[in-house]
Amino acid sequence: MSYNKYYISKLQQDIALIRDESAYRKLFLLFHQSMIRFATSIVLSEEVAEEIYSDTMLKIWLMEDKLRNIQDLRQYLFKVTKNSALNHLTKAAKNRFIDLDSIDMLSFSSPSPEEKMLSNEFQRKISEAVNALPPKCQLVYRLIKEEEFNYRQTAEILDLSLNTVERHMNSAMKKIVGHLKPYIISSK
Amino acid sequence: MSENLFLQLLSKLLAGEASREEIRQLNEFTASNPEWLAIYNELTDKQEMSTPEDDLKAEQAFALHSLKMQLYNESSNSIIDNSNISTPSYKRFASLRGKILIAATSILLIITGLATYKYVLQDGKPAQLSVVSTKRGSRTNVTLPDGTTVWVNSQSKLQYSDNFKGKTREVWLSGEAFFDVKKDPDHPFIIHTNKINIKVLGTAFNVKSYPEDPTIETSLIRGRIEVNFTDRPQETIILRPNEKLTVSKDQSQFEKSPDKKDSKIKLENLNPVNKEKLFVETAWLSNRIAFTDTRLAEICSTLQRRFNVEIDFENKELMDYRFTGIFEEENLDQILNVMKLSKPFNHTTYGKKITLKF
Repeated sequence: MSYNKYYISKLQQDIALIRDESAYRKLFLLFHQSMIRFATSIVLSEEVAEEIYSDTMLKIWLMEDKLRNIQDLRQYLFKVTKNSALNHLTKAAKNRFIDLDSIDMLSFSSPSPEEKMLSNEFQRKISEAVNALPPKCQLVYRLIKEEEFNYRQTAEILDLSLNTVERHMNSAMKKIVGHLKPYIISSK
Repeated sequence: MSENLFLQLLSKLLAGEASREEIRQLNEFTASNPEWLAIYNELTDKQEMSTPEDDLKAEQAFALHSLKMQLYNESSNSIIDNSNISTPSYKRFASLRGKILIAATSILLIITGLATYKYVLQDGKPAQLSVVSTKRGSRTNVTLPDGTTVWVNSQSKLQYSDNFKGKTREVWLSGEAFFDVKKDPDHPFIIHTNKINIKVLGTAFNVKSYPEDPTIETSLIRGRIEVNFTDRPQETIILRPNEKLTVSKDQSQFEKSPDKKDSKIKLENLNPVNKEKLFVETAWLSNRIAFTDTRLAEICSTLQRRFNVEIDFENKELMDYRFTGIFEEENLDQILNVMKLSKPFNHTTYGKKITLKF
């Protein structure tokens, strides 16, 4: 899904300055699917993801005109969501600090919309490979491939250095292609 | 080009970081290496689309979210409790005794405390119950001691103990309410109605159990709930999101069968009314009235409660007229007039009494 930056800015403006409820609703609906998918991949519960998204959107409303100061709203939302998700896990683990390295994403069972629409074998193989990636690596790949963020944005969202992001992305590609190769290269 | 380089460039491409030169290199490489082209195609394949199901989920999520916003708005508009500013003030309202309060919003809020409390045994000890009841034509919402939010529709009564200290969190409902239950797996949340008990395993759902209605309905929006019958507690039915359970109360007085028939139960999916994906069952939460292929008699039942009027049918055949629609009107006359456009009938108003005829 390509997000039109001007459209999002306009919505931001209307919400911040004239408290436009219809703009707010449009924003909520626009980001819902991808934010829930992202949050769920960390907290593993769609219910909790919904709560996090709701809390985040409430904050957005309450910012009032400060909302205008956010340059990249989508990136901001993802970052806030990542932090809330990790906080949630930390609380659930009785405050033993949880970071991106210690989350367990493998049991995330609900298929993403992409996965639901996989018509061919190769896409399924790719999906398998993605799900098998280690947590940070997987998040980096997903943010870049599925959410179409660039390296810098991804680094901002996950609090990583640019180099680390590049490294993870390359590693992800290697693993995915490695998984896919036998099916494509041999079937000439 | 080495495989490593190919992968690196492909990564950059996906991240939008590839320069024109790098894109050219990629194109050149894949053009002369069909198997790598295949991999390239599979990995750059964009299949991001939202299904109608996803749109529906988003709409529902927003409906729930805007209710929370309303509650937040209202509580920050009223007197701030010095002890804890973040506590919604409705929590205080619910425990006030014998007072009548009116909110500044369009929802008329009336909470009547009973002159004497009802006593129920809970965990073997008498427990005091708080009561929230609404008159016809009004709705309210309340926050329970555990943080659960309940929206109570017209002509309904919700009772709960002042503190949820027992092993279970229990409430008694007559009428209609929408629950957004605070998760607490150690203390099951149980709702008692006339014929069925509902144990909450999830979070948001609607229960409709008016004494004068022939059926009881419960509709699940999020989470899971487990329903059992008061006379057969072992038999349970579990509802999943977007499922609705309708239970008929026992047969009318005219039937004289020696053995009581089992309550008829029907499990079905919630039906969205239109493109906006508004569910009939929870339309009342957003101040709308919605019905799909519903008999006029039933529609009038809802209208009576909503507008606090009495509607009589001079011609009984009118009761079987069926309508489908959504209304945001606050004006009963307008609603009736619109319905008349699809199937003509007449209505006369005398004070709070409305008569429908041909």
